[in-house]
Amino acid sequence: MSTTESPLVDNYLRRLRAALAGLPAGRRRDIIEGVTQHIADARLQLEQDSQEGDDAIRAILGQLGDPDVIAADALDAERGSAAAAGPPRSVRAAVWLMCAGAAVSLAAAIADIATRSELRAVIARTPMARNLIGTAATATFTQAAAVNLAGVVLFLLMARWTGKGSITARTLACVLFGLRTVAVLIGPGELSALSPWPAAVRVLTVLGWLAGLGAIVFLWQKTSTAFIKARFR
Amino acid sequence: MTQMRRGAIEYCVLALLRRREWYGFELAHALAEADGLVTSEGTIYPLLSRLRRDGLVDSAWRESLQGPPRRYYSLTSEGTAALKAFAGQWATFRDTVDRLLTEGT
Repeated sequence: MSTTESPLVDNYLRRLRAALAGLPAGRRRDIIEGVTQHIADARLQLEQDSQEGDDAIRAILGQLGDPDVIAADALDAERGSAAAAGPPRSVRAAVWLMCAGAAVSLAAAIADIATRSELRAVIARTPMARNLIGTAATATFTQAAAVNLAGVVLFLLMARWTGKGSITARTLACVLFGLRTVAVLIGPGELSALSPWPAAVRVLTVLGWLAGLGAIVFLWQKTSTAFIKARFR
Repeated sequence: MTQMRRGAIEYCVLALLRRREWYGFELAHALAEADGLVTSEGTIYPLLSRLRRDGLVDSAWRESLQGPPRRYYSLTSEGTAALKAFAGQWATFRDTVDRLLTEGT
């Protein structure tokens, strides 16, 4: 078997591993695995021709090419295809989360609409002047539904821009998320107390916020930044 | 030139895989022997990895008659479609470039 240790091979693989450092982990693993197998196959052939020796191994490694050349070629291709091959997984995950956020907002808006009459009943039980109940119910409903519907539209728009790799989209996503965080912190006390579905509203609010947080986290990952930069250039 | 060469080699790999499954070492050898299409055989491994990521080839570990288990590559239906599309465009592209290069000589 050609599993005998060879310092030449070990050294070559070590240099290759170091040179591939800039590539995504999956690609790096594939390349190391392929080259390791290649060397084993080539050495097997040498063994069958009974000419294994350091010179023969050097010839194999020479034909494989310098680790730096292989790495440069791989990096160059990766950069070239980054813009053409579509967004990496992290950006796709961010887009997916934004779509999920839109769905959650839509569910919240539907919950608002479905419980409109119950909302009125809840408000009617508060010690409020009779002639104001209608106005208060309408105002509360309109505010809740409008915020949630705006959430649907914003999430979908952000998902679209993000998928295109816009650097502005990432900045805007951070700003919107900040605003949303502030809204979550100060807003829901009043609304969830009034809503007939306080628990449901609270859960949807937290889910929407989490979707935003997840999207931001994915957008700041290294692969997302590389994608955005490749698009920007 | 490197970009163009790299793009063409990808389709050469797909073309080789059309008839049967190959393993990396075989592919590297075939391409290196094909008039020096590939100078550093090692560059085929990033290429195979990208083709796999893009869903144009698939791979599986197989026992072989001689030697250790190897990763064998095969063409997916997407790969077949991409190869077909390339073959059509390549003929026109080659003819156009040839015509422009020889025009006026």
